[in-house]
Amino acid sequence: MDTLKLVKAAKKGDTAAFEMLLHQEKAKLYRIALSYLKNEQDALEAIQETAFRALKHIKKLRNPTYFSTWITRIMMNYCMDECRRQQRISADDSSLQEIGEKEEKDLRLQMEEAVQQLEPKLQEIIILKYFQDLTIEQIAAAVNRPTGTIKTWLHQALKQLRQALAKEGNDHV
Amino acid sequence: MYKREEEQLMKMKQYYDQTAIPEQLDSYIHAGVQQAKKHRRRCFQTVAMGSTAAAIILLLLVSIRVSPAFANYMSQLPGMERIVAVIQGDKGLESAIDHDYIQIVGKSDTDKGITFKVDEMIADDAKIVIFYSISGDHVNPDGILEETQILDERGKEIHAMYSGMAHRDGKGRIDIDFGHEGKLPEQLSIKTRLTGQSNTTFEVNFPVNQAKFANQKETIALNETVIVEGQKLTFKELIIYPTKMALRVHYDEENTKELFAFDDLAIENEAGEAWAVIKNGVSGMEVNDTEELLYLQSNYFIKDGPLYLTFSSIRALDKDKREVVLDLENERLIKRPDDKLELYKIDKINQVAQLEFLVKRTDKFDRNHFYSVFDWQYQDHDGNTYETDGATGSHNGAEAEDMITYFSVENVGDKGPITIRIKDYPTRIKQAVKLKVR
Repeated sequence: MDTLKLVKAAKKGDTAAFEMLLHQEKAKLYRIALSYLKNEQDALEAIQETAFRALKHIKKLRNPTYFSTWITRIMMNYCMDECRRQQRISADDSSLQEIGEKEEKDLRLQMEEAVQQLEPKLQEIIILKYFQDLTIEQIAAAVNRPTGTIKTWLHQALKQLRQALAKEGNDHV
Repeated sequence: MYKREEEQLMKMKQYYDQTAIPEQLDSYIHAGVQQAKKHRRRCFQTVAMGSTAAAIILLLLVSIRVSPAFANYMSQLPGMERIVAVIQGDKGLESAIDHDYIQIVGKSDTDKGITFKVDEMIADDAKIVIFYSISGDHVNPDGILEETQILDERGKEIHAMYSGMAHRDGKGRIDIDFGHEGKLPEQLSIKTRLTGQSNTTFEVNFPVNQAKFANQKETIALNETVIVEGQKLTFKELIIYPTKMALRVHYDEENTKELFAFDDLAIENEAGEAWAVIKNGVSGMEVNDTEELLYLQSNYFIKDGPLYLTFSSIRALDKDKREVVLDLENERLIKRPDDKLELYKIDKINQVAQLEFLVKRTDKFDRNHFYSVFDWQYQDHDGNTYETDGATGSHNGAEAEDMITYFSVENVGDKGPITIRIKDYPTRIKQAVKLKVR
């Protein structure tokens, strides 16, 4: 069965169809969760929570074409909240903070960190564009904004990434 | 222009594309799906869940019962006037506040000039009731909370039934019902939005007073079997929490009738004071096909004296009459339980057929009561099962005894007649029963 048919069936309450859809998306969703949360157990819990939220709200998915983007956004929202929550907890417990510890980070980790420092809407654009390989038009449709806005945001995001990486580099000199 | 950054992002993606997918991934997906299914299926008769503002107001009108003495008493306490407006009609909650069984929260979040504030809460292991207020210069008076998410201390959505009401004068209430097996969270995080208030989002976090609210319950074992008109039902236990009483009822598999709902179930004391079924919010939960929990207003704070379970009228229908068969193409009913149900009208809009049925409510119990007559599922002629997309519900018709009940289906008229199942109906078993509970 193709994806559109599965989405339609899932919207009518067919949970087997919904699980099949999730199996198509699971690798990508898991990797996005891992990129945010950095450990396997948290990423697995994120998948469970995403499955729960998506099935609960599937009737709100207006356009079945965007199932993949829609569920990715549910996952990203959860991950962003989870990161903020973990920061809150670790801020409460100062012994967990590794103050002044400057280990040599490779460029990938620097980039990851820089992406996570972006404000949520810019972070979302970067993930949809480079992790999900969506075009500007597809992103515009998915987040319901004009393509011009998406281009501006993408530009802003890349600019901020460049600045963040340049700063990171200087710290190590 | 940002070639280096883009390359770096690609490398990051490649790195993650190479990470192994854990084998347990499928079981986590399955667990999430099961939780959502359970969540969707098991509760019934909530007021505001996913329905329209009009339906909420309608239900508010019929189900708020004013207790003037209580309202008067409460309004003399500073700051308590606003709670009065949102708990009228629930004696259990009135009594909880009366016994200082309440936690002051006072946490708020402001977005675009509008403030959402959690004022107080009442909780136990089975239910949480949150009192909130909305204020600001341009608050939409008809707004209701939407897309509400309630998370626990681990950031997970709480698996419970939520119900809310349209707030009046900026005061409202959210009920979080765990059924009977919940665990009181240590911390709550409420995220919500207001309808008609573009892009406002609110988030409020606060701890739950465990010392006050945890482990507050009394369980009374009953195991009393009653036979009414040949139908056998067993009251297994009564669990009394501060926010509600849960009565566990088992219906015998051999019964020839399906028992839908009690009209006048109550717990009474010696003096004849009665605690009725909860009408504004979640009023029960299916445990399985033959067992359910019915929720009554609580008398937790009245610890002494005998209690009785009473009822005299149950809505019920022969099991073999529960199917309604409808010819969508020719717009006529092929099968129905009796002449209390008529097809009123069908609106076909694109692929959707909005069905309206007229139900004759001839019994006095039905006046000013609304219930959904149909299940959420229907089948086409080939046996394919569908789930209704729109809301199901009921409102008054032209005559006092008329109730219009509606149900929307996909327009599958070309696939032969469709079958809908009845889950509530105005035919009755009448027999007065009184059982000693305590």
